[in-house]
Amino acid sequence: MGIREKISQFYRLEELARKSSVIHRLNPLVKLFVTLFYIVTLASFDRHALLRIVPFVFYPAVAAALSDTPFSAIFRRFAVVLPFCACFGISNLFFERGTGVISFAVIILRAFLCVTAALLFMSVTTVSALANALLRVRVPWLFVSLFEMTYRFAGLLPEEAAAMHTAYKLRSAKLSEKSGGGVALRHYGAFAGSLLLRSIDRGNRVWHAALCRGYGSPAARAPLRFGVADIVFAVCACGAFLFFRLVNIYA
Amino acid sequence: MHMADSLISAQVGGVMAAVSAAAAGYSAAKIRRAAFSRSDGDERGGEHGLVPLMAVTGAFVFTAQMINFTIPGTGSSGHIGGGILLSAVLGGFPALLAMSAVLIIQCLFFADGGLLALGCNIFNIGVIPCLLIYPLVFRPIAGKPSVKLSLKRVCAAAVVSAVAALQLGAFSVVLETQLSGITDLPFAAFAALMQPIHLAIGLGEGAATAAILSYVCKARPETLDFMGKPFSKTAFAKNIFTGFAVLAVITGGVLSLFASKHPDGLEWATAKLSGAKEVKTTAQPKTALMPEYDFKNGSGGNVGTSVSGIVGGVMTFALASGTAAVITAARKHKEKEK
Repeated sequence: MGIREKISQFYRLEELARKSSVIHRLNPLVKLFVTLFYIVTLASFDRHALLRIVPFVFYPAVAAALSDTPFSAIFRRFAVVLPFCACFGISNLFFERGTGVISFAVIILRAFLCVTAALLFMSVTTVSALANALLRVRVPWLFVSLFEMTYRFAGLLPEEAAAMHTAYKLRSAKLSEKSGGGVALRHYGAFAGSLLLRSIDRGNRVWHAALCRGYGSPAARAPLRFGVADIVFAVCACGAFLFFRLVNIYA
Repeated sequence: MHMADSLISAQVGGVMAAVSAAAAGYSAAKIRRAAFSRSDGDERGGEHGLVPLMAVTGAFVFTAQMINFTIPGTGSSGHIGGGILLSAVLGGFPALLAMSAVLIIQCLFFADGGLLALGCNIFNIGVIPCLLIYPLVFRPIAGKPSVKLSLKRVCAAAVVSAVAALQLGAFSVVLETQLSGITDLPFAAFAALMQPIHLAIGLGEGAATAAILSYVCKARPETLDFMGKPFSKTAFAKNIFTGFAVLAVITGGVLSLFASKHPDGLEWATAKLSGAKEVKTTAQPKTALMPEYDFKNGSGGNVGTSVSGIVGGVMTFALASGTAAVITAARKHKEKEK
């Protein structure tokens, strides 16, 4: 995946998170709790419980439909994880006689559902809303601001890196072509090193600008509200997960 | 080396999350204490200076991982891992927090590593290089730059540390996967597969880290954590050893207990609460279309089980897709009306 493609992927989730729907309006902490509950419940199943995992497709299906999240954005990211999980899963086909196919399918399905749940969470929650909610429940300022600022810089720096990379390719087209579009190892130190030093300078400028605009001051934080919709969503979703975990509906 | 949620059990994920959270908490306390002493009592003042540096170097690692360098003569390419580089710039404790932030972003936005596996990933990619390899391998090899800066020593330290960090991290992945019991890969075969691959990756990562560090050493040496701070075998290394020994005992004890005897946390909890081995219902067999994965008269045998599996799976998928389609149609209809 190229740098520019990764930047557009980065902004795609942020764009989706800025939409407005029933799911978008829920409290970020409630959504985080439900997502974690979903993933832990999935992980608690036996490695051969293929059928019992299948009902869990309801949650991403319903949540994606309610929040108008296109599945294409999620499938593209799942494609990154798939080969890794498949490599591990394939070993079960060889080493586990009889039920190897089932445990392989469980690994793939579980990977898909977990990735979908995590990505759905970020596609319906903005980072600033999540950071605000975390600060409200007294998560240390150091963790929250570090997460938020790393996210902001991670959106900024690839643009600078992409510009440097384009300039490098233009200056040494032959060498770049020879190294498959990458940077030759003997140039890598100067390339990445100057990017690091430029990033540090830019980071300090951005940080001071953010402080001047009131970043981090308690007055700038929005109040955290828990509504009826949040309670209903949490109870219904977690209740459904528990039901499907404890009751075998196929039996 | 990012682990996915589907490859670890809830028990291993939970324990590793607790271990990584403890390491992050300890690091945060150390940073706060150092910041407090630097800022004449204004705690936030010291942290304010450190946060942008941690965030921007974390983002740099995230960005640098997108830029591949070519490994001469192999036709393949690699990228930096970041743990050792971050430690060299920030110091071990801030580097762990910066690396954790990068891993959280990679997990949430790119599905690179799972949420449940986040504790494992922070431990393998963050705790090992930042809190273990950096103070115990990198600093002693890099020597005392305040006396005389030796680029050769810094480069050697980067390569050896990157290899050691990746070897330990890869071995940790093998252990976590084995303890989870999700795959049937034999321990020896899995380790024999992982270690040599990560030896090659470690050499590539070490070379890249050395190249960056030697550039920074020449261009702006004051940026680096280890410059001007002579390494001394203080209580730091001792604390790290004690901390890891305690964690190893707790982790090993808790993991072995749960992995061997209680593979299923929820069923175990249910059995404890209800006193029964399995939760059974009386209505289900009567109402179910295919009770006990078989036809209603119980004549199906293996065929019945297979058919019930396929039917059940297809029905559930169809029902979920149908529900999603109905909701989407209703939402679009409502939007049109508006």
